[in-house]
Amino acid sequence: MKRPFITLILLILAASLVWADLSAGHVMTKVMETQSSSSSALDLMLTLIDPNGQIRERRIQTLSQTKDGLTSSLTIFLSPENVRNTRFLSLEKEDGKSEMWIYLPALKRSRRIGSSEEGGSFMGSDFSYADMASTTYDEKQAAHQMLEEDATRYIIQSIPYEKETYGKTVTVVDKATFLPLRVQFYDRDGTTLLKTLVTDQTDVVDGKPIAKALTMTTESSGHATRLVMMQTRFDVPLNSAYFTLKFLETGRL
Amino acid sequence: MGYKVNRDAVIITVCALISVLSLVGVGRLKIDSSTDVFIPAKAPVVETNRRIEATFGSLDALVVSLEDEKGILTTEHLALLGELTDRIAQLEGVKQASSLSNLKHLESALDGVNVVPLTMGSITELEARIASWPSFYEGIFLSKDRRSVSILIQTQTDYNASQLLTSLKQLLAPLEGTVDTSILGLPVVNEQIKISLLSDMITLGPVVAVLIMLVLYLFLRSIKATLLCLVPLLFSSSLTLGIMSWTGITFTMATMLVPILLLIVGSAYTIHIFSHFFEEYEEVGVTAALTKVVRKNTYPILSAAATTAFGFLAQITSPLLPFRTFGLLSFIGVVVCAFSSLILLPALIRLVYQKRPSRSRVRKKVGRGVWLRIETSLSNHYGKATLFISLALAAIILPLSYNNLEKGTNILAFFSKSSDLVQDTESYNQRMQGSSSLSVMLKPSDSALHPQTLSTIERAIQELEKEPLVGSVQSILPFVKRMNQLLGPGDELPISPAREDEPVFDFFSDVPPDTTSVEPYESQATQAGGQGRYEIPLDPERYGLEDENQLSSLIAQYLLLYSASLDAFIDDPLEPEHLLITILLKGSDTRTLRHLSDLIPTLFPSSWTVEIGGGEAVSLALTDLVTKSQLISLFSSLIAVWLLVLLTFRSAKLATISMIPCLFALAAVFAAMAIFSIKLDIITSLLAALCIGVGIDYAIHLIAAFQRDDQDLVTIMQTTGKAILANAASVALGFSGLLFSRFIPIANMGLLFSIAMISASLSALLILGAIKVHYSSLITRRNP
Repeated sequence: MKRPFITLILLILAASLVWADLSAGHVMTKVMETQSSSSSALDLMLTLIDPNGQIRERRIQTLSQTKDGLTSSLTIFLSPENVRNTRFLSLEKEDGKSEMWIYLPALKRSRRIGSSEEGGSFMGSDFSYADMASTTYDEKQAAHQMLEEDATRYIIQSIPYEKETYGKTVTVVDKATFLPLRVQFYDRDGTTLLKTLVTDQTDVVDGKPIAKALTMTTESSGHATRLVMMQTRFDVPLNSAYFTLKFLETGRL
Repeated sequence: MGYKVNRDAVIITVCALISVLSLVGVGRLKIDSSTDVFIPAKAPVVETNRRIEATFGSLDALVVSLEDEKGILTTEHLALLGELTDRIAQLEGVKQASSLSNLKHLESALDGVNVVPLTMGSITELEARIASWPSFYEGIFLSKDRRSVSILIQTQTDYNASQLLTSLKQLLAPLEGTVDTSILGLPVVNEQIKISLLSDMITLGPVVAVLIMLVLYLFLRSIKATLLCLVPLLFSSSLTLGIMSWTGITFTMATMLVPILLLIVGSAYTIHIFSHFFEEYEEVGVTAALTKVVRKNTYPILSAAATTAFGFLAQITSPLLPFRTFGLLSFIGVVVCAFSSLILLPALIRLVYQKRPSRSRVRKKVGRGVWLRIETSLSNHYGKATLFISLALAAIILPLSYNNLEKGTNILAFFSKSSDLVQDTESYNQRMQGSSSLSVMLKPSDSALHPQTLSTIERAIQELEKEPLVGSVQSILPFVKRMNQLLGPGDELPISPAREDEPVFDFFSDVPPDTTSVEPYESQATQAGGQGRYEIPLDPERYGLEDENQLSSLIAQYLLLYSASLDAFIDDPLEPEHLLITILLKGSDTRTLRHLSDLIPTLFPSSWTVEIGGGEAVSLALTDLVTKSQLISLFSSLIAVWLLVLLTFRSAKLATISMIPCLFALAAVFAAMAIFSIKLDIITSLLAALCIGVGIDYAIHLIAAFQRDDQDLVTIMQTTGKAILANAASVALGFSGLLFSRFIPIANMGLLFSIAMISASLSALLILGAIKVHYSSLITRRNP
């Protein structure tokens, strides 16, 4: 009599674990969906804050659009003055790789860059190039586990299948909006906390919830970067000419 | 009798309890093995290092070196290097670990630039990549002979060095037999000092104790007496250890010496008590003998202890905190030692010596020694000549040898040349560009990326690299030049025609995007990378630009691509205010460091802020402070001791004459330092003041004997003279125990102190004896 009972308990336990994993994966997929759009235009201000309080500001605008499952993006540096009009163009190819180009306005030349350093700092900020693309993983990219859930939020641990930059992230997700409220990034061993991203302010643009202001802090140095979305447009038609070498090199459509 | 027994039991119990309580706390000792602990927190170099670390992160760098005589560039070794680098990067306290295995290499491609992992592909491809930028890779990450590679570890600002080094050793342990490994850098040296400090504490104490016991036994010819004599010494030594552990005083290389010095110095007091006790008690019995001995010896022991204690206390004037602590602790220790010789030792004797000993145990009077015969002969027959020749020699040797003293606090020199640490470092310095460094933080008056700013830095680096011990100078320049080479215009290519001004881009403005162009579009993107020059862009015309400010923007645009790797050189990739240059040194002797420190500021315009920091800058600052400290404590000691002798003899003339043996001791110490090339460092700089404190006792004893008119020189030499020689021999023998130290400066201190004591005692006997014979009025009171 005892054995079937234990089996039943184990089955229920296993089912609940599977349900919990699916649920965590589902939540993270929703998080990714909430943040994705077919096209976007963002006007961003990055404020770099030294541990001693010194601040430096960078302003960029990014345009991106996804067509036939392939994403093209253009980043234009507006400030500081010495890098104004420097542009990055990234074109995703069908093989999954991206072709990247940089335009140096001082030389009025563009150059193809073979690959980028995904983990490298973006403009000296606490965001890496990979963070600028996304700070969370979807169901296919990582194994997710629900650590905690209450009335307003989920806390989910994600362990990426390809540990390129991080070994583990712990994300606090707002149940109402599916926006990440806090993300902790751990090293490739998954033991040392490297950085923490906190959503300081949220907003709703055209019915779409967005994280309007975020602060990324590097734990080892105390250096922080606040990213504010000053202007945003989502799912608007963008001229494909923006994503060409001609625009990259001339700034003209 | 009953009262005395009770009192003795109380004294012994209280002292035993204090000792136990003190020794129980030893586990709480805070050990700081770094030389940083010697530097005052407000010293300019500490402030500079703090500013540099706030801007550029920790200056503590570690290097893991892998070596294989057959060649290191093999697939297996590179796989090992990659695995090791990854695992080191994961260790707690590591900010970044870099090696050939995780470096990204920028190379030209047909249509631009490729960023590829340096080790991607075959060994031949790796060699080709290294050959395309040898100045960056060779000597830093890989030796020219291709036999060793390095993993450079940048630590976090607040990290546990011991824990990190233990983890590194654990990682490297399984590699034994595969490749030769070594860990280098200042934290390794500090860790080795810590290990050696503990080892010294464990070994030197017993070694010195055995030597002291030997001396005591030779004098007392009784094991029981020898052991009893040791008790007050151990009591005062353990008390000082207890004070350090319970008050949180840091256990440094200087304070470590206190318990050992007390064993040596204090032995004289216990010898006095016991030798006089043996002389008296067979006549009058234990209690009466002790009463007489204590009464008779209280003043001589306290006055001898006072001069020694004040000699130590002179360190309180030092600018270095561990020296001040050393001075204060030694002062307390000597005072405790003297009082315990007068209180604890008699209590122990009363307890142990209940019966009269057999006559055979009593020390026999020893016949007149050869040395004393020579001395008396010299003083009587060649006294004037001895006096003037000796004084003239001292007058010449003292300033000459002092001026020629080599000063230096290079902590690597603390270890024997045959030690693994020194061997590893020297081997690394031969293969690579140097394991020690000076960091120079620059704040130019103009933009940090202005071509003229970079050009000034380039000229400075060229000058610095001419210096023989400078391996190389690391800076932002190779990155600027490399990017210019890869992205900049080639010599053959036509300069880009000046295009019309670009429209101001703002996607969110109401102005529709500019779609018109007066020029036909012709793509520039197909030009291959790597056509540019490996140089700092200096000529605006060559780059199709109007002025240097535009060149400055070009450099910022170059660095935009490199922003991940540059935080060790500039404080911001786009608008840096500060630049850091790191001078790698293959040797760090004081002369080189001082020369570089003097040279560096002259290489930059006066309007720039130039701050020199790093571990070697601390060493240099410490050398200056040590030299200053030695002078201050020397003069403080001379004055304090002179005043004490003045109080003792109530005669300025006698006080001044009594300093003569001290001058000989100093001359002997400085001459020995010059002869044996012993540097004035954090330990040997303590010597001069201590020599005066300990050495003055011989003069005091002799002059005091001279004041007693009832004795001729021969008798004085037979009694007091012999005691002086015996005391000097015992102190010298005790100090010779320091020769067993794992630290060269402490071993040197043992040698020098022994020389000083012999010199002080012999000069006291010879010079003061000669004065007594030939200039008696100088050395005796007018009104006895």
